[in-house]
Parts: sequence; C-alpha cells; structure tokens
Amino acid sequence: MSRAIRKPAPDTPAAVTASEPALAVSHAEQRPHLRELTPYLALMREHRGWLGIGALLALITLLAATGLLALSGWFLSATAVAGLSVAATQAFNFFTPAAGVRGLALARTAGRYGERVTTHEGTLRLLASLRRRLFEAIEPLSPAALQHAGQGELMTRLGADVDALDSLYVRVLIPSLVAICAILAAGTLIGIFAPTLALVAVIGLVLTGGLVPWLAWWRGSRDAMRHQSSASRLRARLLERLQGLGELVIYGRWNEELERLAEQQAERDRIERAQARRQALASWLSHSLLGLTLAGVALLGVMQMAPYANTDMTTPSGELLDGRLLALFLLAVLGAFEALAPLPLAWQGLGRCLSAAARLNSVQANTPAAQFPSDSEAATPVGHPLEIEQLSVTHGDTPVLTELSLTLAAGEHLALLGPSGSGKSTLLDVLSRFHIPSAGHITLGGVALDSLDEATLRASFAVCPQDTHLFCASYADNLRLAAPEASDEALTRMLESLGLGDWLARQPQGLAGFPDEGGRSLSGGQLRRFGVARALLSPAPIVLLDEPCEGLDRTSAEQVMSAILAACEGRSLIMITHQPLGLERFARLALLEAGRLQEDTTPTTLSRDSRLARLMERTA
Amino acid sequence: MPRTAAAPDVSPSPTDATASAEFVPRRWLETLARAGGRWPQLAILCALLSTLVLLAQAWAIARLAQGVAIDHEGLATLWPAIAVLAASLSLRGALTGLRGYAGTRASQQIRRRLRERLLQRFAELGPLWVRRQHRASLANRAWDQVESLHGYYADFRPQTRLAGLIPLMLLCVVFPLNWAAGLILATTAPLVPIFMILVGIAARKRSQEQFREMDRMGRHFMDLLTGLKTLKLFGSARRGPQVEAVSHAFRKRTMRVLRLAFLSSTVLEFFTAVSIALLAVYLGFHFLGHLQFGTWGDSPLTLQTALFILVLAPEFYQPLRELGVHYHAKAEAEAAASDLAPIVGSAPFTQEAEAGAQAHNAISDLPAVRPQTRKLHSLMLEEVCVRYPNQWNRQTSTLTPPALGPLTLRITQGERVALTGASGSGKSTLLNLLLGFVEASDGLLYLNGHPLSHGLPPGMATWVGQETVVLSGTLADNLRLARPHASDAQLEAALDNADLLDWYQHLPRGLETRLGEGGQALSGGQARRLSLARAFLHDAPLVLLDEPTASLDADSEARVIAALKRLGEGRTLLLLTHRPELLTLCQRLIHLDDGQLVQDRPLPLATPRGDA
Repeated sequence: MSRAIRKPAPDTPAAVTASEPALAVSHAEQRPHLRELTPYLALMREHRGWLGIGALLALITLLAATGLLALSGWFLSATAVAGLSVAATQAFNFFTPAAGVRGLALARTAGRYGERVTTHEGTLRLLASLRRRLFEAIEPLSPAALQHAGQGELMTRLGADVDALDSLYVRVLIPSLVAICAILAAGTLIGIFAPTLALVAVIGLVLTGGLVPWLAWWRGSRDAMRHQSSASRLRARLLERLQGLGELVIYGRWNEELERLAEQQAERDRIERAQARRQALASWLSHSLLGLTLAGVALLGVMQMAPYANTDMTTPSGELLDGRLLALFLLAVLGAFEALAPLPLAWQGLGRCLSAAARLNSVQANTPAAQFPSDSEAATPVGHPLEIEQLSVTHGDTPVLTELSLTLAAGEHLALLGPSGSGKSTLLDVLSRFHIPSAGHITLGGVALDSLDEATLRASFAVCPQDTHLFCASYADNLRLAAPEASDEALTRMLESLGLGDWLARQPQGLAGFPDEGGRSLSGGQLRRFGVARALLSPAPIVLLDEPCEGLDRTSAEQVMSAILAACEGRSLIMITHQPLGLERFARLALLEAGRLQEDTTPTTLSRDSRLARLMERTA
Repeated sequence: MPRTAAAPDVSPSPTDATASAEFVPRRWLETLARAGGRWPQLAILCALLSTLVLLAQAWAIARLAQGVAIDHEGLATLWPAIAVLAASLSLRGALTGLRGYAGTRASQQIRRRLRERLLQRFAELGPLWVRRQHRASLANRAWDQVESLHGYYADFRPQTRLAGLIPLMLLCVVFPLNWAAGLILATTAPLVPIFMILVGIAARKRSQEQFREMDRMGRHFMDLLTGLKTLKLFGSARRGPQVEAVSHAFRKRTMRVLRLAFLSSTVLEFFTAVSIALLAVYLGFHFLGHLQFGTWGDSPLTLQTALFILVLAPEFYQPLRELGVHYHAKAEAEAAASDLAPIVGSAPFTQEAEAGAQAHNAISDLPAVRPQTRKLHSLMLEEVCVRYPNQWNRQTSTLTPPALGPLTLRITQGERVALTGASGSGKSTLLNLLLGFVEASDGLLYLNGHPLSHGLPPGMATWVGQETVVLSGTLADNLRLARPHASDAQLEAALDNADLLDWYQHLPRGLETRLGEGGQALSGGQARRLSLARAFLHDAPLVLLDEPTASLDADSEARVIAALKRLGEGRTLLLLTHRPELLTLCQRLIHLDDGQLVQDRPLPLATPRGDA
C-alpha cells in the first residue's frame, strides 16, 4: 500500500489552524493511485453472481430501451414507405415489428425493475462482506493506536468511507460496464447493415464515453479530494469553536470567528463551484461529441442512401443503403448515449472513492497491537499474584512510566493515587496489553503476561476504563458482556448497590430498555457507575478500576466505594483515583507521580508528613 | 461531573415555529429558497430552453428520415438538418451544464445563509445551551445537515417545477400535430402521478424505514468500532461474523423495502415504454391505413411528423423520472428541516429574524467599554424573573414556576460572593442573565444605578467555567482571545498571575507554542489556569466563576485557588460552587433554592490553611 501518501501535504495553507486527524491530512492533496481499489475489486469476485446478473439486467434494459426507440423509428419509416403504395401496404407484415415493439416495452419495464433489485441486492451483500473484512482488519489493532488517530472523528470517517465505497460499485463500475456493452450493442446493430457507419458510431461513442469521463476524473479528482479535506477541516474547526462558544461570545470574538469560518467556507465553496463548472463543461463536451457522432452517422448515411438522389434517380452507382434505416441508426446512437450520460459525474466522484479506499487501506496497514501466543504455546498462570518489574512505557518519545515496580498479592487491594497525567491510566492499558512497554516485565501467576493467550488474559482482569461505552443493546445485554450467565436479579442487585436503583426504577422497560445513542440517557456519573457495575459483575480475579468515583458527590462516592470493596472481597483490586476518599479501607496505597512510583505503603504505616498523608488530609 | 443541567431545557425557539400547530418541512424549506436569489429561476429556465432545443433536435432527426426514406433527397438539401442536429445537441449539453451549475449556486447560497444564521442562533442561545447539546450533534447540525440540503435545492426543487412544465410544453407541441398522439400522451400522463401516489403511499413509509435501516446498520458498525476497547476488555472480540450477520439481516429488511420502493420507478418506466409502443403502433397503423383518425383536417400524416412525435415521447416522462431519482434528496432535506427549524425558527431569512440577529450582533459588536470607564460600583437585581419559553408542564398543564426569581439582590464593588444551591436552583440562570444569554421576563437589572436591557455590557464581566476551551492555534492566540491587542509583556504578566510562568518558561517556542489538536498538550489544571490568564487579560471588573476547580486534582486545585485570590483583588467576584475550599475565598454566601433566594449571609473571613 502506498507509503508515499504518508508524506505531509506540502501546500497545506498555514493560515488554517484547525488541524484534523493526521490520517486525513496525509491524504489531502495527493491523488491516490487506482491501485488502492484492488482489494475492493477482488472482493467483488465473491459476489459476481448477483453483480453479474444485475449488470446483465441493466444491459438488457438499456438494449430494450434503445431497441424500442430504434425499432419504432424503423417501423414508422417502413410503414410510411409502405403506405405510399397499396400493394406494399397489403404485403407489409406489421405483426412482427408491432409485437417486437410491445415485447421490448415490456422487457424494458421488467428489466429495469429486476436490475434495480439485483444490483442493490448484490451491493448490499458486498457491503456486508466489506464491513466484515474491515472490522476484522481493525479488530486486532490496539485501541490506543486507534484513539491516537483522532478518536471519534476517525470513527465517523471510517463509517463514511465504507459508505463511499458503496458508490464505487453502484455508480462507477456497473454503469461503466453497461456503457461499454451499450456501445458494442449499438455498433453491432448498425454494423449488420452498414459497417462504415457502425465504425463512426462506435468511435464517436467511445470518445464520448471514454474521453469525457476520463477528463472529468483526471481534472476533477484533485478538486474532489481538496473539497473533501477542506470540508472536514472546516467541520473540525467548527466543532472546536462551538465548544469555545462561551469564551468567544463573552470576549466579543464570536462574530470575528464567524467571519473566519465564512472565509474558509468561501474557499470550500470556490472548489465546489469549480467542480460544478467542470461538470457543466463535461456535459457540454459529451453532448457536443454526441452531436458530432450523430452528424457523422447522418452524413455518411445520407451519402450512402441517396448518392444521386437529386440528380439522376435512375442510375444510382453501387449498392444503395435502405433509406428506412436512417431513423434506426440515429435512435440507436441516441439510446446508447443514455448509458454514457451519467459517467462523467460518476467518474468525478471516483476521487472520493479512491481517497476513502486509500484511508481504509492505511488504517488496515497500521501495526496491530500485541500478538498473542496460540493456545498450544500459551502458558497457564498459577494463582493470581501480579508482579511488575522495572516497567517503562513511552508515548512516542515522552516517557510515561519509568522503572515502575509493583507487586500485588492475590486478594490484595491497592489504591493508586497521583495527579492527572502521572501515567496511572497507561498502567492499566499495559496490563490490558493495549500498550506495549518499552522495558521491564510483568508476570501473572508466575508466568509472563505476554505468554498468556488472549482468552486467559481477558478472563484474568475485569477492567473499567475511564470512558464507558454503551452498545446499542439492552442494558441487560450491556452488563452481560462481562457476565453472560448473570441473572436479572444479580444485575439489578449490582446496579442498586452502586446507587443506580432509582435510575433503574425510572426506566420504563427496566433492564430490557435500550440506551439512546452514546448512552446519553445516563448522566456522566451514572454512566461511570454503569461501567463499574459491568466490571464488578465480571468473575475475573483481578479488578482494575480507573477513577470510578469521578464526578460523583461525596455520598454517592462513598456508596460506590463500599460496593466496590464488597464486590472485590477475595479478589485483587487496583483502583486508580485522585480523590483521596475512603482510602483507609485499602490494604495498600501507592502514589504515582511523573511516571514514577513515589510511595508504596499501607494506611497504618503511613508517615504523618508523607505526601500521601497530606493529600488525604486535605480532603478529609 | 456536575454538568450545569441546572436550567431546564431551553426550548431553542423562543418565539415561533415549534409552538405553531404543525410543522411542515416542505413549507420551511420553501421559505429558505428565497436565499437562492435568481439562480433557481435560471436553473429552471435552462431546462425549459433545453426542451425547446430538443424540439429542434427532434425536427432534425425526423427531417433526415423523411428526406432519405420518402423524398430521396441528398446532402444538398439535407445538410442543414445535419447541422441543426449537431448544433442542437451541443446547445442542449451547454444548457444542461448551465442548469446544473445554477442549481449548485442556488444551493450554495442557501446553505451559506442558513449556516450563518444557525451559528448566530447558537450564539444567541448561549454557551450553556450549546454545552447541553451533544457535542457531535451541534457540528452535525451546523455542518452535515446543512450540507444535506444541497440535493434538494440543486436538483429536487427545480425538478418539481419542471416535472409539471415540460410535459405541458411537449403536449402543446404534439396536440396541434396529431390529436390522437397528443391524447395518448395526455391520458397516460395523469395516470403517472396517480399510480405514483398509490405506490408512493406504500413506499414512503417503507422508504423512511429504509433510511432508518441503513442508518441503523451504519450505527451498529460504528458502535462496534467505538466500543472495540470494551469488547476486547471483556474478551468478546472477534465480532467479524456478527458484523456480517447483522449486515445481512439489515440487507434482507432493506430489500423488502426496496422491492416495493422500486415499483414507483417501474411505473414510470412502464408508462414511458408503453406510450412509445402505443405511439409507434398507432402511427405505423395510421400509415398502413388501418387507423384513420388523429389528424387535423385533411393534411396527411408525414413520416417527419410521426418521427418527431416519437422522439419527443420519452422526453415527456423524463422529468418525472428524474424527480424520482432525486426523491431521496427530498427525504434527507425534510429530515434535516425538522431538526434545524426548531433552532432557527420558521422563517429564518425574514427581515424580522435577521433584524433580531443584527440587533444581537450590534450588541456583541460594541467596542468593549474602555477600561477606565468599566467601573462597577453596584449591581442590582430588582424583582427579576426568568422564565424559559415553552416551559409547559405536561402533567399539570400549567406553566412551571420561573427558573429564577422573583429575586432581589444587590452586589457592591469588590464583594466576593459565593452562590450555592442544588442543581436546578437557578444558579446558572442567574449567570446567564448577567451575561445576557437569557432575558428577564420581569423586573430590572441595574448597573451603577442605570437600568440594563440586555445583560451586562461587554467588557464588564469575565467568565471562567468548568471546562476550558483550548483553541488550535498558538499560546499567544489563545491568550489574545481575551484582549486582541495585548503586548507580549502583558501576556507574560497574565501567565505569571495565573501561575503558568514556570510552565511557560520551559516552552522552547514560548508564546508561539502551538496548542490544541496536534500541539502541546495541557493538563486539566494548566488549561484551567490558562482560562484564568485570559480573565486577567480581559480585566473586567466582575468575574463570574462556575465551579472553576471541577475535576481537578488537589494540587491543581490549590494553584487555581491561589490564582483566584489574585484575580479577586480589586474585582467583584461571583462564584458558583459547592467546594468548601472555594468558599474560603468569599465574604458572602447566597443560597438559592427553586429560583428563590433562601439565604444571604456573610462568611467568616478565610483563615489560611497550613500548606495551601
């Protein structure tokens, strides 16, 4: 996959301060190679049945539509000529063409319906495989790495990119295929009667259907990408400034901010207008080429059909072409053009497909997180003592944890204190193997942490990170993620012990209810406690909690603390906190500061003048 | 975190729209179209002209066929028709292109105006309203939903006019030539909308369902992606097959919907095909003498006329078919409309609405009062009431009591007042009132004895909230937000006052250090002190603080409190808080309950604690 894309864009305007996630910037100004599409084209092969039938039906529809017009044109010409003499009128077989006209009319209708149904069926099947493939590619990546790439925005963009590839099949590939067939079909139809005319028609149509879309793509793809990156920059800036609305209004800067946004949008609008102009030009160009093609066919047709028509009708030289066919030729070319008309727009949009594909490829090419040994090689821990020795972790070049050593006997409870940014959460990430330490080692039950297979590792730790994600599933299912076997009573009891009983009672459907998007039906503190409940329900022997009481008032915090300690009886517990609340109930206290473990002691042996003691005293 | 869910939901539209009985998205979208200027008309005009040129094109084809098949003419007489054929196609291409361009311009203008209006409304509704909205949903409204109107104004709306006009135009041309052919078109034409309505009624609900299904499938995928960490932590990853299974389930449901929805386009397709077939058969039989009716008077039907009519036939249905193609744009726009209208009101571009916006802008555009005149001797509230509009209690069918007041209160220069009260007691409303984000429904505010109409004038008050906003830009940009022309020395002084000097001196690029996304990271405490530095720079006589130490660790809290002490010197402080540490800063405590002042007492002067 193309590494070159990773180069930062050279001409990103310096004035644009709102930056966006690195992945998007790297693609901003460069035209991705068509090669980016290869994996997605390969995926098509799995669904060639549906897509093939869809394309075939599209072609049949088009042929029927073209044939209907062409045959009707011929039929009119033939009957009009026959109508000139009584004998010819009586001899004229109108049953076959009239039946043909009716048949084509029906074929066109049925074909259109069938085509739409099958192409959509095929595309949706394809998207299902595509989603699965993408998900399986992303799944092994470290969540930390994904989050560094820009978190929510990246996720949103991933979704949009998958959708963008949708248009690759329906709007670019299938129409292109149908267009090629349409040109061939029109050429064949004309070629049966007049090969030279067919040649003119095919050359004209190929130019119309090939040159113009190619120009549209070549000249337009850069703009399409710039348009997209400019739009996402604007969106990111808007998002940021809206968060700062309070300050901006109070300091009287909001209008200035609006002007700034308007300026940036004017730039985006300019690109949009350029695209619209190019689109208009493509329309003019392709219609003009069609006009020339038709004129060429008509010119040759007239010449071959009536070379001496006006001078000497009795001595035509060479073989004359049947004059009744001209209408058929012209209408066949016009019919084929119907398949070419949507191509320039589709190809202009190809840039979007391509950059979506390139981005998806580069996300998939990211380094996967920790590798897990296969089941046969995996070690089995004995008991659950946890030993961390000389652990160092860096984010890029910045050290986050430095030579940290810590042991936790099975069943021991440890509160880990420290100011924000001291590396507490990173420690949990390392234990979950989302982050790979640069030095040191960790053992669980006497075996190295990285020799455990994933199932054993996950079954050993119950983790509640700072941000709780609620899935679009019932509350019960969200909780059962941790404990599939838990009864409704157990779930309810756990929620009640964390002070969520009132909240649960207010839910019309109780545990069977669904959270709305992003779990906004719970307040911040409730969401946090819901996450704690989920972790505590897990039967894992070691519980890791990251700031479980953050955002809670004192009474609730004390209730949560009691529930945690009750649920962790007999289990090991590491609780990260910066509120020194209820710490006397922990067996051990540790203070982490600037990535180093400063103190590790028990509440009883806590010396009066230690930093821990002062921390506790301040909030007592 | 104790979000300021204090004030009840501000229904975003205080005056209009949502209150009126029924919201019709189409009508709202129509009122917006005004902003497109002349471009929409140009788009329609181009399409109509293109139809006129089509007549020339049809004439040329018919003329050529007649000339060659019947009259045996040669190039000498037929070349004009060939030229017309080429020229008419070229011209149609140009007109079609221009139509698309005009549509884009129209939609662009409308989108720009609407976005501007929307952002102004955000400012009018105030930061507390903004903060209560979901972070992504605001950007989604101001950006994505406004963008989603493009298809409606660029394509769908002009097409609705054309779907009526173009068939009528063609009918006017065909009827005089041959009434039977005209009749074939005229009788099938009204059937089209009837059938489309019939199919449409069933399909509309289904197509809404389809949108929902698509949306749901996308969300499920996103849901798993964003929740990947959680899935892994609980050992339930490897959801690939599930992703596919869910996609297939959605596919099945979606296809059920689509199979019906596609019927409407099939109806059109059917009528197009059938009318061409009917015309061809009728005209052919007419030539053969089997059907003798249809012509006016005695003039016989020529091949030229017959072909001319035949070429026009598909174009007769084309506008309707295109309308069908753009139907999804309409659905999208209407969905956006029902989301946006409650914010910008039912008629966002009327003079009244814009005058209101200008008045608001005029206020916030006032040059900040010059420092020496920015004096606060006293601030007085007299029987002030704030009532949020549409605050209707469904259960009791009564207007709920005011969010604040009636409240009478006097604060004098240099006082440091703590404001306490439970969530919903009106604390935030009081802050909003002072900042001019809500209006008093009753009572008056006095500043130095003069009544105020719209909160405090700019420059009088500074606000430090629970969340600090760090804008992408340099440190200097972030500080100059509060005072655009401050010198570097003034910036450094403010950093010193806010206890950020140590940090600042270690920055290799000093004031030019980039902050925000991709820049130097700030801890929560540093960010909070940055907003204090802004407050020092702004140098307003009144400082409004909303839980300024929320979610800070003890160490950061102590530093913020120390900085607040310095900020309080010579200024009047109004502090919303529950924290006992912060109360030590204040001399007076005001406790609100249910919008009423229930306690107003002096606080004992702070006795400095040991180490803080």
